[in-house]
Amino acid sequence: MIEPPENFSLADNHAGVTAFLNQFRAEALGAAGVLNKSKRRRIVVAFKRIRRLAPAAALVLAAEMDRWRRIRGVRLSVIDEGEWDPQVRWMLHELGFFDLVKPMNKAAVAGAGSTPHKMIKLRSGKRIPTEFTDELQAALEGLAGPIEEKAYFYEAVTEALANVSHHAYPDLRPTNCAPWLEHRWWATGSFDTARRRLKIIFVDQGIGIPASLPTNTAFEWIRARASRLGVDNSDAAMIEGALEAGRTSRAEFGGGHGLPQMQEYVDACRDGVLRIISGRGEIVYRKGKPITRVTHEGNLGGTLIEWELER
Amino acid sequence: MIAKDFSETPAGRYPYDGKFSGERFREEFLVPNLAEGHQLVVELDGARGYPSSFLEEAFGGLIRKHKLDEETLLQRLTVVAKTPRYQRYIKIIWRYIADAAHRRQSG
Repeated sequence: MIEPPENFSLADNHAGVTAFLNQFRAEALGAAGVLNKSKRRRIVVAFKRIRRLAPAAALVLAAEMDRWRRIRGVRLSVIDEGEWDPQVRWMLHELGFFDLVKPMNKAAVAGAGSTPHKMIKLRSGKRIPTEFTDELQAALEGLAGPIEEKAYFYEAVTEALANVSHHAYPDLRPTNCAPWLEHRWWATGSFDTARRRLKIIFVDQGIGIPASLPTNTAFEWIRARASRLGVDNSDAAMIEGALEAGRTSRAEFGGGHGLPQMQEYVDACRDGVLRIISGRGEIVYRKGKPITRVTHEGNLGGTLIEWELER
Repeated sequence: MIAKDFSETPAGRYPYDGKFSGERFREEFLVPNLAEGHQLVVELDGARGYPSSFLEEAFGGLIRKHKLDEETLLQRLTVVAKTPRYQRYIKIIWRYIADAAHRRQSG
């Protein structure tokens, strides 16, 4: 039995969530990232343990279920749905989680509910589908009203997808990465009706921004900057360095990570926050404030990009 | 006019990113005109927006991939925007061109 933490939030419990994800990947997809389809393992996840679920962590969880479904060719059976926290269950229902798994109690899953975070159904794709940003914008506006600064929104979202397309999944998957779905990303949005905050969230399951940087021609500049910050070449310092390298154009040719336009979207709006979790690093940029960075114990196993905007 | 003649949704660097990539715009619209010595006016109005990877690949790529020099582009290429909200991209495009030229000189 794999037990997720009660508090399934990367903001409040990064260690617990990443420990669960890594345990799930190891047991569900095979040890050392090697998929052994001949070994039939019965995987049971005690989802009823989750009492609090944050939108970003919900998307990461759903993406794992989708990976399982696509790689193994079957959906993970879920149990005890009637005993799950009702708000957690409803949030996952809105997200489309139950389309990715096999519920045993469909009545429990389909029932009405409510949650402080209204979610849009997740989207998933590869590369940069032409119609995607329009479709995402329409869904978010259905949730939270007109999108502010539409050009900046378009650019930030497109660059998030370009980042995945160019950097997240190199041709050779490192042996310490779980089997992955090449070029795939997942996206959703949530609206906190009480605090009136809209979140736009993207996730991939690739090597992470820090691990992708050595192929970037600005890598030495980024490393030197991290040293000047007085920190080791931690994942968080590397993400921040990549952000600044893009701002000063040094990383743009040969494939910058488009990170500055993700930050510019926050700056263009009334108020907001950009959070990027990648590898073991996390940076948070609040409009008008210096970037804060954290290096975590656990590795997310990909990249999460989240905008939180005041409405 | 990019929005009318190419796409309202330019995105990505390479053809594998999607239908309306910077590389495709460069190869189909910029290079044929600039290589023959024509004056080219690129109008920016009307697109959803201009992601940095699109602009850099389209315009920085003229220097990087086609060995055009900045001086030639200054003489032959004009980038315009009639509405104020598109004018910020003009400076960005020329910055990408200048950066690509600088990097080529630096080796």
